Amino acid sequence: MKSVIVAFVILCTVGLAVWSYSEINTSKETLDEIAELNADIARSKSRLRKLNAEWAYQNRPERLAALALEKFEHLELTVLSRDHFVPLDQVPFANVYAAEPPLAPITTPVEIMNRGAAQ
Amino acid sequence: MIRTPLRPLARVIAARAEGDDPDVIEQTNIRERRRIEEGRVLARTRTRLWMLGGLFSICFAMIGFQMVALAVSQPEEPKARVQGTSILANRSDILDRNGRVLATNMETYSLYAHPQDVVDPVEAALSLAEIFPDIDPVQMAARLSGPQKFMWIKRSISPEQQQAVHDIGDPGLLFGPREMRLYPNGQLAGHVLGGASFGVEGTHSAEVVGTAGVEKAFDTYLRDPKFGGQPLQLSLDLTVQAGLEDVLFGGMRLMNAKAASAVLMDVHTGEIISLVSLPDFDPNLRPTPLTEGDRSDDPLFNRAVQGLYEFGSTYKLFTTAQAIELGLVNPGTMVSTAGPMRVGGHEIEDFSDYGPQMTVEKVLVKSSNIGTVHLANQIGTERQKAFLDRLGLMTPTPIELIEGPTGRPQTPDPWRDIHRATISYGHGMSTTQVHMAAAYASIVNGGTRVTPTLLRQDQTVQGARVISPETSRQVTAMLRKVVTEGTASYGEVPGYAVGGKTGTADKPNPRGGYYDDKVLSSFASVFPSHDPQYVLIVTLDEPEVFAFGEDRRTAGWTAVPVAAEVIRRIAPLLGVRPTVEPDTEPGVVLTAN
Repeated sequence: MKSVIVAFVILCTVGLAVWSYSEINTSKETLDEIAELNADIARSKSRLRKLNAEWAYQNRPERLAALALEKFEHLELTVLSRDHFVPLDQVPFANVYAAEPPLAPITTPVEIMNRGAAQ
Repeated sequence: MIRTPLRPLARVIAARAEGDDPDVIEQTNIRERRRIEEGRVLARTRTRLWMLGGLFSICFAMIGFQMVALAVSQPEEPKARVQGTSILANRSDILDRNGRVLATNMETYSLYAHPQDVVDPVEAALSLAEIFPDIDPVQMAARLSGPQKFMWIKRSISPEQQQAVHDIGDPGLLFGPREMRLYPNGQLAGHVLGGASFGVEGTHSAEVVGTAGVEKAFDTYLRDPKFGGQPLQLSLDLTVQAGLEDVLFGGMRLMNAKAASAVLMDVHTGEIISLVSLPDFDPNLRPTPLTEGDRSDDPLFNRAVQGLYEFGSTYKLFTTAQAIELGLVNPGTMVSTAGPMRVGGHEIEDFSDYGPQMTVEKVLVKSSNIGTVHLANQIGTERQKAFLDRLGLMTPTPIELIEGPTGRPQTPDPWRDIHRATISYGHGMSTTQVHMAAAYASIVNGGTRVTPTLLRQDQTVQGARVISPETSRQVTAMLRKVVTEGTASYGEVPGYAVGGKTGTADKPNPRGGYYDDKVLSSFASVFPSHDPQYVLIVTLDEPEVFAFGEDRRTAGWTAVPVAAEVIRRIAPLLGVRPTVEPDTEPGVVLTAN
């Protein structure tokens, strides 16, 4: 009887050792994955900041004013003045929605997040 | 196992036969048996001790090995971080009131050298001088050949420059990641933002610290990781700021002024929507401060916050408002304007002769110094001081700029009768433009004290009452008349019912006295005057314009048209709809019962 118990304990120990070894490996893999994801998030954040800065730079009032002047022939943008205010009921809204059928629902979404992040 | 009996029968019989005691045999056998047993126990114990010793040795060896391994290995961050990414968050962005970026960070690289690794110092120096024109090749070659082990070459470089340095291919030239502060709008709101520079520097990173403006005033907030990079939202409106700077710059050139400044404030919240000081500078390339000459000529000098000026007749509003509030007069009361008038041995005159007397309203509309001094005499010195203090004109403004406390008003001490008289029409006391904006806002918003702020406010906090709503309404109507009938006739902007008060102050001569031909002309305006929403203070330094056959410097000819153009441009941007002014005069007048 004693030897059966001893054999059982030894088997249990071996089993636990194998299980804990595999758990350690799994956790290491998960940690690596998290580290990679964190680095990815950091890269995306940094890229987002860069794009925001770029956006702000491209949309600086000085540049927009210069562009409006340059493209005046096509866009006819002028400085906002008091003549541009009218009561809402005087705004001629085109009834665009009545003529066109509603758009079909999107069934094949495309993941575009982080596309081109490597560039 | 064969056990030896304790009393073997053969030996017992033999012992009995010989007459010996057979018990001796038994005792001998017992002793022998014990000896054998003890030997066995001893051997087993020894084995156990050895095993235990071995086990302990293995444990000690393992712990010792682990300690050595920990001691000699490189430290590394634990991988299982919960907020790993927030550590990467750096100096917070600064946004305008609508969330548009005013200041952000940009990843770039710094360039440094390990001179001992540089292969060809002369060639490297020549190539560097080609990329960076401000580098002297001879000096650089000498430094690269020197005994130094480390030297900075450039604090931050562009990607193109980095590639060019890569192309030199010298192993002694190295790059470190660096974060720099970027102001994407260039000069816009440069005085408010201030600028930033590098603090403690290492090759792998550098600390970005604010050097002036809100960058320095909020340095701790912007750098503190506790706030997780939460942006700082200012009260400024980028579009309005751009429009105001544009118009003011044009006005400054047109009026031949050497400098100009303007403050636009929300009268209810005290938020500064726009603050301009010209000439200005680009915070991306912050110039070095002037070390000699007039400090106010320095582009870094924030005229609206640091510049202390006598604002002239714009002060008459405070005197008039106080006299009405105290019940001493009403807008229709007649006041003497007969001149010249003598106070404390000094003569006080008007710009032109307004006759023997005028109503209080006309005194403000026509800007009579003598009439205003008569009002101040009725008020008295102590009450005048207390009122100006209640308006916040005696202490520095709490504006959130590092330069704010330097705008400490200059007041006379002791406050004599002549000071009471001159201060009533804006001479002898210097304040900043932000003071003026806050004081005007406090008068026209219904009479509650306004605290100027550069941070976006989501709700209005009503300040202490300065004057009654009725007085506020009366003096605001008078301000409107200054434009429709008085000195600021060029200030009319159809649809926006501009009200305001002009002020032309002779500039003090550093050698004593005042200049005859140099003035500071200001226009403190409010719009729309039937429902005040914004206060705009425009100031031109030394303007001069030739009109109708003579040189004109007064505010009515210089600051007023510029301010009107500013309002025409920015009021629609602020979302103020042009309205038809309600008729302020009663349609039917009761003449008798």
